[in-house]
Amino acid sequence: MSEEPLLSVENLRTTFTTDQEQIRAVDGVSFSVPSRQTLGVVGESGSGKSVTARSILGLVDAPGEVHPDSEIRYHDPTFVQQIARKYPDQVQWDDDGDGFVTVEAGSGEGDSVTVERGSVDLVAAPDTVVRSVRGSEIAMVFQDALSSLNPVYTVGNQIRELLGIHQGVTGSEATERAAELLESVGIPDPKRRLDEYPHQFSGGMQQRAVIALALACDPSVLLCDEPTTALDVTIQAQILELLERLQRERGLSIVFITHDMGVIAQVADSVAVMYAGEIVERASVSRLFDDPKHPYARGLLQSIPGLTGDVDRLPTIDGSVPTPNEPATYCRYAPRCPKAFEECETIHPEHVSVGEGDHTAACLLYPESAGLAERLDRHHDTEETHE
Amino acid sequence: MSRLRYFLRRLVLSIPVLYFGATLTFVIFRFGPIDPAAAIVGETATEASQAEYLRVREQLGLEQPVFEHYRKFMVDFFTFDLGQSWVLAPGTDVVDLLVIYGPRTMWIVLWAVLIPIFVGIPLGVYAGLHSNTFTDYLISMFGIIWRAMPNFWLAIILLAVLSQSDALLGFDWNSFLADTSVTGTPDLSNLTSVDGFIAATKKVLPAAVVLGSASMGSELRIARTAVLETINSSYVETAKANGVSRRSLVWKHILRNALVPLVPTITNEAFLLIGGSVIVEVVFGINGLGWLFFQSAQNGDLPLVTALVFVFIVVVVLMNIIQDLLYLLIDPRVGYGGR
Repeated sequence: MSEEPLLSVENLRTTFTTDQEQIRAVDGVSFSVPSRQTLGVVGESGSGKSVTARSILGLVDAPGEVHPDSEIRYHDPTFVQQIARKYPDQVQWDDDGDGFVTVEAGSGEGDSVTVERGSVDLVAAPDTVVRSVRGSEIAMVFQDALSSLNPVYTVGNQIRELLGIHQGVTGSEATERAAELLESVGIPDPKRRLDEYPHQFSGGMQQRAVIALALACDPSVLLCDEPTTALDVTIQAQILELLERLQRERGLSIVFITHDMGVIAQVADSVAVMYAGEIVERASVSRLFDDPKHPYARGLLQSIPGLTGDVDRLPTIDGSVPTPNEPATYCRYAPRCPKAFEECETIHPEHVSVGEGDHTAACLLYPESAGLAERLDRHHDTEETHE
Repeated sequence: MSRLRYFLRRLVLSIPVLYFGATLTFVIFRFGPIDPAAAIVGETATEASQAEYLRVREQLGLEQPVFEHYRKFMVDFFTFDLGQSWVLAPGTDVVDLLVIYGPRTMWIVLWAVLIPIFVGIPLGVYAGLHSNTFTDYLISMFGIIWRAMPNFWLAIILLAVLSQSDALLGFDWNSFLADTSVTGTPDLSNLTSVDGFIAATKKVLPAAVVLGSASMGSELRIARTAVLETINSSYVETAKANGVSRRSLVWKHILRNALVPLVPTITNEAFLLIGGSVIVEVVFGINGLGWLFFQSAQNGDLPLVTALVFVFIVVVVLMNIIQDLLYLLIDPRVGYGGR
């Protein structure tokens, strides 16, 4: 995938500090989301998927903290230009300087600068900038639809509020627009539904309403945190279809977080497999399903009924995800890995290319062409240059 | 309109409560340990007083068959014919006594409800929004202490401090803002004028603070907990992720939800205030309903006591209805799904 990314995350580290220890919930995650594409993030509970999504929008509350060296870059030229004009002294050309607005291609200066290509670093940017991103540029859909809606206000009231904030639309026009939004997410009889409360909606309708809320601000990126997990399979399929249609119609980029490989297969263009705060494999969706490289990704795929043929017992991955509370100097999957060997305990694997395109995996087994000593050397080296 | 139906059902359900309460009052009046007529007449040793005793029994209806007496008693109560006082103010209608004594108590209770609402709840909300900070700890500790102080003790201490405010606080409470003494009955005849309002308010303020102290503590604690709970809910996070400003988050999304557990606390505390006002009125020498109730019970003025008990029952039931109404206004989920 060679398209320009719309959202890119570089070495994201989010830690939670308690009296006893520091939990590295997200530990050096990098990925990028191309425009109009869907990135699937998959992994078990506790692998840091949700924290990654929350970090992007600055929603991690104390004692959680996004490490200042992390980068979360948003590349929409219109937005970058708007911020560049608002904060002229923060503009840096081609990564040269320490401002949070990077302009790669553009012209002019000060508040008349035009940006053709560039990015805003949401980690370094002040709160007001991050707040202006929330909803209007990057919006989020959470897992539990009913608890995502405020129980004491009508659905229409909540949508109108967002329309007022992001698009300055109020009154009967806002009502009109809210009804259109509900209709576009497939809620029948939207005019009447606007005056109903969330508890009067069914589960699937609630999730549609939550999606309508997120779309009220016309974002470019939609972060979906397990939006279909609480729904039954038929409704789940409807919601996935809805998301696909909305992506086509509105040109959305979607980050889709789930633990369900089946969902990934349906919606994602590319996939990042997360384990214990790290991405262990990155691939296009077809590559991942055809030829998974990392033992963890293999384990996940093998444990799906139907993919492994007609067997009595499904293979499982024993144990559970460890809590990452120290810097990774070893492979975090090693204790559960069927292919682990001695060096896995002492060397932290880095991402290496394991196939065509952007297929990479972080495992000491790769690159396959090299001998063991060479492989160890390679992972060892990259680690040192990284520090 | 299932919500309207819900409210109407609650309204209808309060009738049996009133009926049962009134019946219980009748049972105590007729079969209780105190003979009402004996308490009214006093000595019954002489021939004359014996005749008087029988006459009083006749008048109180105690000589009638139970069921006929019961029927008459209930009809009187439900038509608000509350009878007369026999001992404390012989021959005065209970309704007249209520008109004289009631407003004073209402005035104290009003302030005792308002002070916790306007001091306790904002403090609690602030503590909840800034949880685990120094201010939060300070406010929470204040809430616990305030909650823990018993009414009768606080009343006496406040009385002692305020009557020597010159020496203890450096200013004279009696002449502060308006000329009033610490104890005594407030003058409610002038409430429409500014001076009269201030004087009447200041007069009952110590009593209201004492009466409201416990409610203030608990409302503070519950407001804090409710805000904390709401602030961590996913709809607040969703609203935040969709770009809702902090001000709107707090005022629109958090506060209204936090009110849901607060409403029953406020109304429940208000019931307690009516009972609690007995002690406080006696300590501060305010001639209100609480004082009247205390005196009538002490003197065995059973007709007056039963009438007052019935009035209290009506007030409590009314409060319950107000609580249901507030619930309906605040939380749209109430009444949904009920038949």
